[in-house]
Amino acid sequence: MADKDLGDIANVTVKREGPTRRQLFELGAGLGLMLTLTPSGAFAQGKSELTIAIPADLGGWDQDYLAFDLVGLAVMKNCYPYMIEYGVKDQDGAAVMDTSNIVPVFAESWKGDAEGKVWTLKIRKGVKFPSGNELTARDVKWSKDRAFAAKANVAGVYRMIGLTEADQVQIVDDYTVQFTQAQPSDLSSHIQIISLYVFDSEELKSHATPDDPWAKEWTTKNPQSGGAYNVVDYKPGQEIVMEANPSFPSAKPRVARVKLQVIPAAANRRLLLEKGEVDIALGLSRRDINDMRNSKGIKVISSPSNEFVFMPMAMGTAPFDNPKVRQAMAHVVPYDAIVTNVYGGNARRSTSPVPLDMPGHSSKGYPFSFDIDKAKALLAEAGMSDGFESEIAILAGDVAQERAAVLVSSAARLAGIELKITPLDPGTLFQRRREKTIPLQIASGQMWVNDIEYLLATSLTPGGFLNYAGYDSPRLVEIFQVLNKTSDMATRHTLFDEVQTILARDVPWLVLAQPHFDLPVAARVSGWVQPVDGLLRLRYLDA
Amino acid sequence: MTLVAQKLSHRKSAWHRRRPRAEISRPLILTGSVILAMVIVGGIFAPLLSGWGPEEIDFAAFLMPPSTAHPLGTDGNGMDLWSRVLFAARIDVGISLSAVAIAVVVGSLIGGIVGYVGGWVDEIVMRLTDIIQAFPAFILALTVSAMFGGSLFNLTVAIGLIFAPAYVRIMRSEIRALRVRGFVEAAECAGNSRGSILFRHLFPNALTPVLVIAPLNCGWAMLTLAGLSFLGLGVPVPQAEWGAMISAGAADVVGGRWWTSTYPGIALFLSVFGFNLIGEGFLERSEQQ
Amino acid sequence: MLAPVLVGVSIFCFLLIRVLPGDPILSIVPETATQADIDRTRAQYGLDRPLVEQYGAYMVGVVQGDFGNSIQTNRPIVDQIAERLPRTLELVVLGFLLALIMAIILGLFAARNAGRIGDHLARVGALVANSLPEFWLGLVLILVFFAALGIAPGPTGRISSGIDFEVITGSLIIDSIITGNMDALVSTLHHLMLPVLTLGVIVVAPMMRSVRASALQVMQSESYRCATAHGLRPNKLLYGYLLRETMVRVPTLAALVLGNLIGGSVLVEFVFSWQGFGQWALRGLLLRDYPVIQAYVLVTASFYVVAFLVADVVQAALDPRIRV
Repeated sequence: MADKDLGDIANVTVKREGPTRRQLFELGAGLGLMLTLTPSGAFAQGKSELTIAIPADLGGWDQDYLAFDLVGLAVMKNCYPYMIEYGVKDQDGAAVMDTSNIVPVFAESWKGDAEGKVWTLKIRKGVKFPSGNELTARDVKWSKDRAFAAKANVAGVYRMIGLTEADQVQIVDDYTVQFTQAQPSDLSSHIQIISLYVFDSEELKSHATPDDPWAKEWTTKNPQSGGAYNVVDYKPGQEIVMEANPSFPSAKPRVARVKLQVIPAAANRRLLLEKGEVDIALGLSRRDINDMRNSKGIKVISSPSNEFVFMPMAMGTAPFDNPKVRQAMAHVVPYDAIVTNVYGGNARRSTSPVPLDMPGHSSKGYPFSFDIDKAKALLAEAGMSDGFESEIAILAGDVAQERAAVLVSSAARLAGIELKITPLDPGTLFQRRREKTIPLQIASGQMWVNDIEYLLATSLTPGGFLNYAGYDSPRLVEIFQVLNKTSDMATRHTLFDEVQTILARDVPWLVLAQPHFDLPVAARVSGWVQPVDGLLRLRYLDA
Repeated sequence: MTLVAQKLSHRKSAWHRRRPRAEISRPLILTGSVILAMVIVGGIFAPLLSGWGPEEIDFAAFLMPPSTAHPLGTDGNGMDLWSRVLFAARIDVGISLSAVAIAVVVGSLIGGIVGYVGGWVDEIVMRLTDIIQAFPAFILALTVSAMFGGSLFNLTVAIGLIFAPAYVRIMRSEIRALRVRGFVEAAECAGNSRGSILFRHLFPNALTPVLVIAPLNCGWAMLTLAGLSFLGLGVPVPQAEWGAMISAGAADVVGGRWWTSTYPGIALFLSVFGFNLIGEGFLERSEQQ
Repeated sequence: MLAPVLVGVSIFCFLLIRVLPGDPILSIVPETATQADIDRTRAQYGLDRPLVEQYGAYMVGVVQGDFGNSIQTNRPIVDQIAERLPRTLELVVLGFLLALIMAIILGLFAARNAGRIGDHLARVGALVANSLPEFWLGLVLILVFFAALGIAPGPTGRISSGIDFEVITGSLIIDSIITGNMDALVSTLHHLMLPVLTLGVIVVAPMMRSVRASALQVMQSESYRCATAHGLRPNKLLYGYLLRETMVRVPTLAALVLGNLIGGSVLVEFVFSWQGFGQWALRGLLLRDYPVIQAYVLVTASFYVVAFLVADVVQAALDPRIRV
């Protein structure tokens, strides 16, 4: 749980032998996946079954038209065919995704040209969808045309790597597709890992109508399959049953059958796990999970995670427009109490707005500690020795956020700052976030691409969707533009360093912690691989 | 489901009922009052009865079982439970009483005026009352409080709004009954203005059924408030209120930490029970007349 | 009385929820969406048209049986109602029946022992039951009967997982009887135990009070005293007079209680993960899913209004002496 000095890791990444991210990532079929095999056996096909309790049903089966629904995205990660994926590595004894290692799954190969502007996808031959249709380049092209038409998640992240028009995606032959970006990017493969999921275009076209050329109606209600798992039964609002896909081109999933049961109340999910009626319970509170560490028949899988919890301050509104006030706030947060109480000790303290484990992370990015006296002194310097009043907005129903808010608000009171806690429903929360009218809030982020360039794009430059603080630093924007065009590692790391110096001075966020991903499971479950995007990969599990 | 008795009362039949021998209305009212008095005293003197503030965090004691430092234990935020149970009495009892007071005053006024005046005003107001009564109570309360913010005042008004229609009906039917009985003609003959007839003659006579129902209503108002807070849509965080405490403690209970939900639950039950006893006593009394 | 009230309710609801802060569209578009994307999605759901037009279109649909689509899931509301409402109805009807049976037994018992200790205990007992917060009672029952004793199943919903069942009417009891699926029937009844008990206990008191009062009236009436004086056997007294006369009042009460329970079962559904009508509406309210909320309010109000109507009609039919 101790913080690694991420400088070491950065050096390791830079001095890596062999291919850089830009070059060829052609690994033999299943090579990368050998890393995922658990000690209990190599290529045996599991006959076992897993039941997982999930907090909510997914909102729909159409990944192109789905809002940001983590349950939905996680389910779909497992049942849609994805072309490429990350490898797996060990970190602190836990298996996590290796973001420096891209592995083809449904693809046979994924190569970029020398510049990194034109990328070629070669698809494996003979892979079939459950309908019997073969997965070919036409399916990939149609799926990406659909994504551009949907103008949703995929279109959004494609913009980052310079893909904005459907005709930048070209069929070369039955099994080859080419992506021609407007500019080279260091982030291409990572973005494609998120985006290269494929629909059974023949099947969908058969359900299309003139009013609905992309078969949205049908796709929303009907489970899509063809990935590592196929959906064999779906009772809306109640359960989803999946079976391992015999045509899966990589190492076969070890668990043959997975049942996802919708159990909305967390207390009930916990009870079921303890009674042995489910094998995995998702979405439990830290406290529940801590209690279960010693329960018979249950073990808690704990992995370091890249999810970070932070409190952006509205830099455009008083009193948070004053840097001294922001620095004072940074001294008012009881960091250790938060790690201990809210996360039961299962979190790593954040030491920079740049997440731990991100190449280039440095603790110089956030030189603050819990110190009420320093806070008062800074407030006095800002001309606010009497303190001030403001509000903390949290998402209604989020227990961890509520607990953290209560702790921050209690501690702030000691410095004369009155913070009212306002739980908001999602609609109002998102609205106020867009309008940037939230003075102080608790939010969490998870960078699906483990790179500071991506962090800047999404969170620290104007226009970034996670930039709730309204942070606008001209120098940071300049740096971002340079990073966009540079792939020289030395230059990138110097710039990464400068980014954190600027962040330490400007303090757009209070950074709290990176909670571990704790998962309580039945003792017989193993094989967990911590995902960088928070979407569980069922095919690694064993029961 | 607890709005039933108030529906009943406006359908009071004219049958004369003879009551059973034992007179239990007095013990009922007495017991209920004693219980409530204890709760209210606990709430008023809370700062004296407890060593901790209701929102004061003891950083060294999160979710601890009852001990000498914390007689009822602490909750998940490190706050003392005994103190919170006591201070919550202020909120729960206070809001219930205020909400019912609002319902009684507003409902009776409207019902009385409308019952007296009659005509198309009566028709319109009764339709509006029907609409509010047919509206699912929770949705109404939630929407009103979401609209104006979840402050205690707005919550009180929202709950008062739910219970007001019943009083409109009661008052209206009482006033109409009284009109029929000739009080009004007599007063009018004597030259009294309409306003004074309404307020000085009719209301006092009609108030009885209203007052009979009010205590029961307070109990239901408290349960409604607790229910809303249980769903996370009631009092602001981290205010001490029994329903919110039960909700926060529900997950802890499963882990064997029973004190977080049990004590507030007992307090809530006792208070509602007190109101119900008084209400039953009043009902008993009124049926004897 | 029916139609104008329901129309009034729907208009009131329609306006009320649109005044609420919080934009439903924002909870379904990704955070990366541009203003153009949001506007386009809003137009897709017809939320950019003038209110009057929206309401008109909505009501035209309702009359034809189309309640629109949920903003969150884009699935037709009627499908979701057909899924959810029978679950709540099953629970509510059974809870009510349990309460009714308990109310009759306790009420008659109290009336027969009027003024004595049995009567007082029964009445206070009913008051205790009425004072219990239902969410708390549900939790306590789960703790005692599931976690501690293991008699009842876990609060996972209406049926154990792994049991196949066909959905015809939506009510699991009826469906499993129709299809002859004994496993499903047993599991359903097993899962219904605790929530039905919770609901029943909460609602017993007012019904018991009514039964008792009716029974007392009957017992003090001329015809009854006459029958007693003539030495009719107790059983005949009970079934011949007492029960029948007592039951005169009950249907009215029953209709009212049931009408209220549809809307009032939310908390119990929540605690038992019932996935019923109320929970669906609550989630819809949180996410500002207008069609969901509108449908819930309309259906619940309809039940309520119909209940009143039925109560009036039954009252008049059963006892012509009572003027409506």
